[in-house]
This record gives sequence, structure tokens and C-alpha cells, in this order.
Amino acid sequence: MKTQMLVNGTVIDHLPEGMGLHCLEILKKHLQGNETLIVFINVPSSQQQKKDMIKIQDFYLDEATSTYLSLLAPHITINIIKDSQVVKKINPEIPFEIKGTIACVNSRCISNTEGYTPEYDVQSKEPVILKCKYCEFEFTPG
Amino acid sequence: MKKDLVNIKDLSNEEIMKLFVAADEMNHAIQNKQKLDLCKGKILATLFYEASTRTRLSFESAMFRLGGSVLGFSSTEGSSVSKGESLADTIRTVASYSDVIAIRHPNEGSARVASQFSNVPIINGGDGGHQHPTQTLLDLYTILKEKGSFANLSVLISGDLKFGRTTHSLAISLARFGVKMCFASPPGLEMPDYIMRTLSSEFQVVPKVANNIRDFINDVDVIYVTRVQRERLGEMEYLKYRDAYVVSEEMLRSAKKDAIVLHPLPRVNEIARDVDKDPRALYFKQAYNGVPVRMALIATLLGVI
Repeated sequence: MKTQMLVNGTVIDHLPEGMGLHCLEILKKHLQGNETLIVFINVPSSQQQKKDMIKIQDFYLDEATSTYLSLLAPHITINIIKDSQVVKKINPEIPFEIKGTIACVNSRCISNTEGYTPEYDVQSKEPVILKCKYCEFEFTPG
Repeated sequence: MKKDLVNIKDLSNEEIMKLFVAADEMNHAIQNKQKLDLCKGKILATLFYEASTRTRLSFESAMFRLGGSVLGFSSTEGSSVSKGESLADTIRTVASYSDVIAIRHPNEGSARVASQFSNVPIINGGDGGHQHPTQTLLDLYTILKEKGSFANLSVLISGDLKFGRTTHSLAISLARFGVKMCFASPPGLEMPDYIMRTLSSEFQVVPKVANNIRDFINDVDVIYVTRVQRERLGEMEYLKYRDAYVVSEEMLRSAKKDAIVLHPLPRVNEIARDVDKDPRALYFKQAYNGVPVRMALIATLLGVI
């Protein structure tokens, strides 16, 4: 399938099949709303059989959001494109500790009720299991 | 550097045993009506955002018996919390009025937040359904005093294990002391996954689990019962679980003759009243032990012993 070449922007590649639209939902709050973007679904892939992919014109993904996406999809690759060239290729590494980025799923956690910055220890990277440093609740982001 | 007790993991086994030696001395002083002045001139603040009888009063009794003073609140009404003040701001202020703070709060992780904003020691008196480490200390102390050692013991922890915060810290610490455990709870109120994972990954402990206390009650040395945590359930859910389990004298007939029955209290109806006269029922003695144990803890955190 031929698509328009990205001149400047971000390609989020190797999203697991079915994650493309979910990922777009997450990205929405970071977008201005006027970017041109394409979500590819069920793209044949040698590594994953099928994958999803997102291309966004004139938008550069920051590190915190890259980390967040890697919690949902540990094998994603992020390509930063400038003048039609890949100037940066990011394979986000899941850190051992995470600060901010994602809310604790425990509604009784103090980080939710009083808005303290959530912090987690990463208990497992595959599947991703986070342990809240406040309430010790463990969960897989999704 | 200040030391807090937010999580039972903040204390090593050695520190716990040292506290118990101090608690023995405090108990001796109480029994002999000795007046102590270890904490003369020191102030304990008790910030209780949730209802409490034993925890708050035993903290206050402990500080008075150490010769210190107490200030605080026992409900958020009448404090600036009711005006919407954040926990962080309340803690920063109260820390400047006191030397040590005991806090109970409905949100899980609140004691950790308090420790981050306080320059005086924080003692977690219960944070939502998460932990209640001082209850665990007095539970361990009672078990040790009554059974003489943790070696070769088996403990049944029963009741609302999902929201019963005392059971979470107790299970972790019993595992640390190598005690064999089994858990009994109604379906839906089982021990949280993260506690089960911690027990297996950190301590290689995999307790037997069942939905009925009767499955284990005859084989254990300690029968630890907790109530259904009504305040953390909806009313319909509470009604579903209210009478799900009751330890009765009839059930105890086949239990070990030297078993002990413990409960963090308050008891609702999960231990029948007729059990109170059974010499194995030690929950009121357990509640008393909260005073010497908390005396030892306060004195330790304040660095006066």
C-alpha cells in the first residue's frame, strides 16, 4: 500500500496489531489538532506478522510520551523524520522506575485523590507490571 | 536522619526484635506503676482522618506513659482538612508543632506522602486498605509472648483479606520470620495479588488458601480473625459478606488446646461472644500490648532509648 512520504514528523512503528487506534487516543492530548496523520492497521510485518503504525506530520514525540507508549507496547520504534530523512531512531527502553506519565489505577491511592506525582517501580518488563510506590498496587498499563 | 514507620518493611527483623525487648521494659514499667520521663518535653501529634478507638488511644496512652504530651484531631470536622487543606500542607504545619506524628488516613499511600513532607518521624496508623504496621508489631509481639518463638508456628489469617490492612503487613512480616501461613476468606475478599506475589517472589512463601475457616482451624497455632471492612465496601456488598464467617466456641472445640485466637478489633460478629471466656481468646490482651509496643516505637523513633 503506497502512502504519502513523511517530510517532517514522527513515525511510531511496530505497534502490536490493534494498538494503533488506542495509541492515537493517548496521543490526542499531545496533538494540536491540526496535524496530518495516518494510522496504519494490520500492516504485514516480518517481525510481528501484523503490526500497526502511525505517521504524524510536523509533530515530534517527547521522551516522556515515548516511555509511556513503550509501557503499552514494549517493542515500538519511534523514528523522527526531518527533510525526509530519519534523523533519530528511538527504541524506548522501559526504565526500572517511572515518575509521572501514568495515573495509578487504584482509585483509593493518595496520588489520585490529592494529585501527587505518581511513581512506580517496574516489577516486570514483559509483560509490563508497575508497582505504585505509594499504595503498592500492581497493574499492567493499558 | 529521621526514621519513619510507613511500611512494616521499614523495620528489619533485628530492629523489630530490639523493639520487643524495649516493649518488655515498658510493660514492666506499666505493671509496676513506674513513672517514666523518657519523652518529657516531647509532643506526639495524632492526626486521625478516620475513626479509631484502640490505635489512637493507645498511641496517646503510650506518649503520656512516656512523660510526653499529645495534640491532634480524631476526625476531620473542626480542622482545616474540612476546608479542603491538602495532606502535605497539614503535615508541614503539624510537623512544626510536634516531635513525632501518628497518622491514620483513608487513602492508600497517605503515610508515605506524609513522610515526604515532614521533618519529624511519621508513624503510619493505617492508610486505607494498604498497611497498619504498628498493629502488626503488636500482633507479632503478642504471638511471640504467647508462643515463645516464631519457629515451627502455623498461623491462620482469616476474614476480609482484601481490605483488611492489618492482614497485609502481618502476612509480609510473618513470612520474613519464616512462619507457615494459611489464608481463609469469603470469595471476593481474598488476599490481594500483589501481596501473594510479594510472598512468593521475595520470601518463597506460598500459603494455602481456602474460603472456609474450618479447613484450617484445627491445625494451626494462631487463629487470626478480622472483620469485614464495611467502610471500604458498598452497603449491598457489606450485607453479602456480613455473616459469611463466624468463629464460634463450637468451632474451637476441635482446635488445638494451646492455640490462640487474635483479632485486631473492633470485633463485629465474626467472633461469637461465647468465645470471649475461652482462655485461648487473647484479643483484649493483644489490644493492651499496643501500649508497651507503641511506647517502645515512639521512644525509638525519638532517639530517647
